[in-house]
Amino acid sequence: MRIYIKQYFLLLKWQLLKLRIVVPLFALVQIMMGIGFIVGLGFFVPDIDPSTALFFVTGAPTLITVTVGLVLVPQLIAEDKSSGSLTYIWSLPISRITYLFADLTVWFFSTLPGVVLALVVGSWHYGFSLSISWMILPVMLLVSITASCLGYTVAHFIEKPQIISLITQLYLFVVLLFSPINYPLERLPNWLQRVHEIFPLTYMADLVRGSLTTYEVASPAKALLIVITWMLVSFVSVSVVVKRRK
Amino acid sequence: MIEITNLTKQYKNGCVANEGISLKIAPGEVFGLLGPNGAGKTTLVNQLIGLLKPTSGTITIDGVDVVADPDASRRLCSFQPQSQVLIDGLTPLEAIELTGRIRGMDRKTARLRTKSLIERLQLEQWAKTRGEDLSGGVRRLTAFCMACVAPAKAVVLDEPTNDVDPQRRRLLWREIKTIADGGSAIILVTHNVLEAERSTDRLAIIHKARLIRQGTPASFRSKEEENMILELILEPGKTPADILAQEANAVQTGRRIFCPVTIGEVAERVHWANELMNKQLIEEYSINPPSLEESYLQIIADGEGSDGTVSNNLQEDR
Repeated sequence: MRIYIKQYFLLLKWQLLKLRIVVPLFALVQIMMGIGFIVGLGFFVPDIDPSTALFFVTGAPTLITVTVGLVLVPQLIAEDKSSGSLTYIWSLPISRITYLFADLTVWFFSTLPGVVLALVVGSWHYGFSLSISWMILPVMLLVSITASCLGYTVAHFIEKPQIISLITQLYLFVVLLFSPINYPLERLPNWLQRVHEIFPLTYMADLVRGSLTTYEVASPAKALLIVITWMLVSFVSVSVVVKRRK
Repeated sequence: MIEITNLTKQYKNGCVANEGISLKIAPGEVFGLLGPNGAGKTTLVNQLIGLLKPTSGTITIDGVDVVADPDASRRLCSFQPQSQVLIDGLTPLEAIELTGRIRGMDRKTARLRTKSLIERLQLEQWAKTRGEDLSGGVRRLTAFCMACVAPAKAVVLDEPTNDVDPQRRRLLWREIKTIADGGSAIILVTHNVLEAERSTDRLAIIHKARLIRQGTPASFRSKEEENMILELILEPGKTPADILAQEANAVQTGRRIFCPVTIGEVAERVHWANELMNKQLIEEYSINPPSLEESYLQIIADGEGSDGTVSNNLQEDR
């Protein structure tokens, strides 16, 4: 066990050193996304009422985290695959699960600046206050791990980097427009509501919103169970995918 | 000891990349793998380091079956890939030391070993430069150090000298020899026949998925030892017609003409070449034994059957 913990911290260090060249740009993009997202809403909906604004702003943490996991993670892995850098990392005597944990840690922390900024700017701009519970930390971890594992699985399961890139573009489109993260589920047509009952996005957004405000999650146990199931399935699938030899 | 027995790898698309390959590499040995592009060298190496699963056959390192236990192969092999290792963001000092620690060294030992490697390969001036600002050669030398910081039982180096300057190539070869002397078996994949000839203890040629020849570099040279090569370099602007007319087996490339010569003919041919030089038809000449490169190209050419298949006659020369 000690060796795994040592390797985890060494890999974490490796990843952080690797990312230090992109961190300033990444932070800038996150800041712009966080602010732009909230301010941009005012252009979409000029006379926004406080409850819609609250719903929208408290959807931002889920949207940012899911976008990083489903879009950015597969794209960076595709890049590592085509540069051969993944081949090198995997020739080292490290557990691939340890490597996965180190990566998940980096992805989780990389979303935090955007999340915090969106909440701060949003609540100030639309004039409401948040009521943050301790649950926000485990819930955000759950959302981040699930989204990153799903992104990881796609990136490792699909061979060609170009296809990975196209699929992530499609994700972005679906997540941004057709997922009830920033608006209530009831606005979608019935059939799409049924689809979202199986997928975790609605539940993720509900759980995050419930930990940030006094918003009442319809059935928190069910939401938690579904998101945890997705996390387990995605973690098991990514564990299998990273371990397989061609 | 690395033992590869009857190794075959067929990809899902039906392409056979390795077929019936058997090899033994002893600790302390520098073993070269030669072969044309697409011959199956990288596939062989990737099976050894546990990235690919053989279709059939066995690989053992120090008696451990690494096909059954790919985690063991990563412990028992250290590897420098053919592609550049992405160390953007990391300095050579950080990348080499971190690799050493990942391979189980404590911080102090890893740091000492990293410094010593950087000094031995004369990389001090770039030791604290981040990867994205390094030249291709320095990056490759860094990747070499990463493979050698904590040498495993098998050290696999895929084209380690690409992009590296001649001075540091010598240092790199010296380092490879030191690591081999420490008891590691070195597998060296290369296209550079001259370097392979000078720096390996034994060589194998892989062609069209099969191992077609293995032995010491000397054993690869032409069997007809009496054959020498007379190389004439034409004076600029001279036509070779009057020389080539007398030489049915001569081959011309640019200003150079190569004529096969037997040992008995050497004195006579030197006299003839001197006459050509006096007539100012040639600038200079030399007589040499055939190089390994010529033998290598001949072996590859012999390996091609008329139907494009490879000869099944595995030759072993030790």
